[in-house]
Amino acid sequence: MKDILIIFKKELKRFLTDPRMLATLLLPGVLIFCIYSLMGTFFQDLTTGSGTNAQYVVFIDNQPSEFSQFNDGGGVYNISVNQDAALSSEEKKEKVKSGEAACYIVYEEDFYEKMTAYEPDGTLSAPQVEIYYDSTATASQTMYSYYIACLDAFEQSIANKFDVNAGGEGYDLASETELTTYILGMILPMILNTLLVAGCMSVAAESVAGEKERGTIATLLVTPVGRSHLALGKVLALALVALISAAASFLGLIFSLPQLLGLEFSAVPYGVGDYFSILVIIVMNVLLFTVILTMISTFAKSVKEANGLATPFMILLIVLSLMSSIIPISGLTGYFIPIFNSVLCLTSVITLSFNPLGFFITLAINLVLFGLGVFALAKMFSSEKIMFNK
Amino acid sequence: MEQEILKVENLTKKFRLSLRQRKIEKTAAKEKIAVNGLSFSVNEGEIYGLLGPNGAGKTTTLRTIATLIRPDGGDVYVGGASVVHDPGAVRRQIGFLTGDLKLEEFFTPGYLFDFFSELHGIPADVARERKKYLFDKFGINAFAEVKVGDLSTGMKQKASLVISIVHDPKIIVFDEPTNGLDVLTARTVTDFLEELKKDKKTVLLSTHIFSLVEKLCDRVGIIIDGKMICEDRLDVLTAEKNLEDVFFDVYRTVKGDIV
Ligand SMILES: Nc1ncnc2c1ncn2[C@@H]1O[C@H](COP(=O)(O)OP(=O)(O)OP(=O)(O)O)[C@@H](O)[C@H]1O
Ligand SMILES: [Mg+2]
Repeated sequence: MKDILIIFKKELKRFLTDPRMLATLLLPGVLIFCIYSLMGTFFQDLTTGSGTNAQYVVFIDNQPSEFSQFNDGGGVYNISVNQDAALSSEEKKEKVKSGEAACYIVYEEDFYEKMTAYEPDGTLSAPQVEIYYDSTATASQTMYSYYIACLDAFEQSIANKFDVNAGGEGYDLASETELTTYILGMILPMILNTLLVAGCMSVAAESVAGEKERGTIATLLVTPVGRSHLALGKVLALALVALISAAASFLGLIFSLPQLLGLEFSAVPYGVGDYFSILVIIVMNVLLFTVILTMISTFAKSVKEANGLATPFMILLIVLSLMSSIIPISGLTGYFIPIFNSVLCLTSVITLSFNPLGFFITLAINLVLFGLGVFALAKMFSSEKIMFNK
Repeated sequence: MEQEILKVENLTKKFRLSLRQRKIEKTAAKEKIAVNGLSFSVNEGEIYGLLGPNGAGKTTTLRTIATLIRPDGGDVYVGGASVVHDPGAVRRQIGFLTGDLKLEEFFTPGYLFDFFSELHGIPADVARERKKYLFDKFGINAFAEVKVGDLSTGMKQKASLVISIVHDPKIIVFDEPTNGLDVLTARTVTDFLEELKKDKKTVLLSTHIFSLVEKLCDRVGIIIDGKMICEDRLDVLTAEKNLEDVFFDVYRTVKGDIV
């Protein structure tokens, strides 16, 4: 045990007192802050807050008085209904698009009467409700879902007497720019992971492949320290160092979020719980990446080779990170795929669709993998083929 | 009889050759027998020189002794501990140094001395005493707090030598200690070895520099193709001819003419 600590302390001293190393470690955080803030400046309008006290402006045309109860917000949402006939429907759609209003609901004239008269035998057509919204704005999404839920519940109770958004397309008023912002929000995990790996890689490559290359590892191997203790001391120190790097990334992310979303810091729609989840995901990823990259580094003969061998891993990581936004795997299946699962978790937190069960599956899988990795690493340190390959 | 500190018994080590290595060595054999049933021993207070041409198996033998690689056959005992069964005990009693065992450039000799003392489990006060003694004796103090990366090759060499004996090992094993060093730096190594000789330390060293052996060693073993061909006291071997001639005679008997 004591030698693990001695090795651990030496590695920490190596990385934390070297200004150059320290710079490489903190750089990802600074980069995240800069990149995201810049991105935010370019795409400056995502959403308004979704807190319970935020007010939602909703345009409604031809509202049947029987439906006015919907506007209470179910005791959860504070809805301000605007039935102003002075604005044209185009102007109202424009306001939804710009974020001034959450959504725009159009009932057919004499909706309630037509609804009660309707029989699903084909003689009369079902009355229509149309809801215009913006899928990239959280507030708009919230209101859209809320009214759909209300109408659905009502429809169930009267046995299918009208249709909602039966016109197919054209109801989602998200603009091009907003979609781009949304997609950028989706690739956030990719950028974050890439930078985390970069932080882990520089220390892992240096710590084992570098020591092998320069012949300093053998100096350690002829001391009475057990191979597994040596491996453990190193990987723990590397994980801690990488965590410091990750903490920098985390802070960079937190402080760039307002700019990224174009909001005041207090209006960012994430709470303490969300930040905590993001932190746990980052820590998990760092542990996993550290052990994988240390294994790669142990396998390599030189720093250069270690970096070369890490490239396929890097590419795999980027592909997995992108996949989560392109192919949405439904249910919990995705949470069983290592790395992909942490990307899913991150995306789910960011898009406010957090899945606690998926999160715990991810946590468990990553911790088990970390344990296995440390074990494998200890085995690798005992292998003369790996430590002394010509 | 003198006490045996190191005993190499019928040591065999094979390497599986990769395709690339087979091409380089121009052989179809899948295995290379680097050490082939080698036996010898080193007594307390003795300096033993292992001579042999390139590829004879010197490095492989010494690495096995230092527990860096495991034997395929036979065994090595250091102070009675087997490298196969108790490598930890062997590591506590042995000091090992080669040209390609280096010190981490980022740290100072002073820090590394403390670090390795700690790893060897030496009590702090004993370590402090020993550090003062060794640093004074070998003139390390002047650069004890300078990063290894900023030292001259000679200073680095001195620091490595001293750090390889932090734990006052029973036997010190040197693999080609002067290999690749210029005359001046090589001299620090030779001086260091002379100091060890004066202190009656037990040393095993491999080299192909005859003068070094002639100057320092009590006994000499000549190995070729992983086998001990000839072993005797230096004064007996060199009674009639110098060491170089002895070596070539031995080589010719084993391998035929020198190409
Ligand atoms: N890891 C390895 N894999 C394959 N072959 C090896 C390995 N290590 C050594 N050998 C081979 O074993 C033989 C003995 O090598 P060794 O390094 O012990 O010789 P040496 O006497 O130290 O030679 P030199 O004077 O060149 O240092 C050589 O043919 C070498 O190519
Ligand atoms: Mg050699």
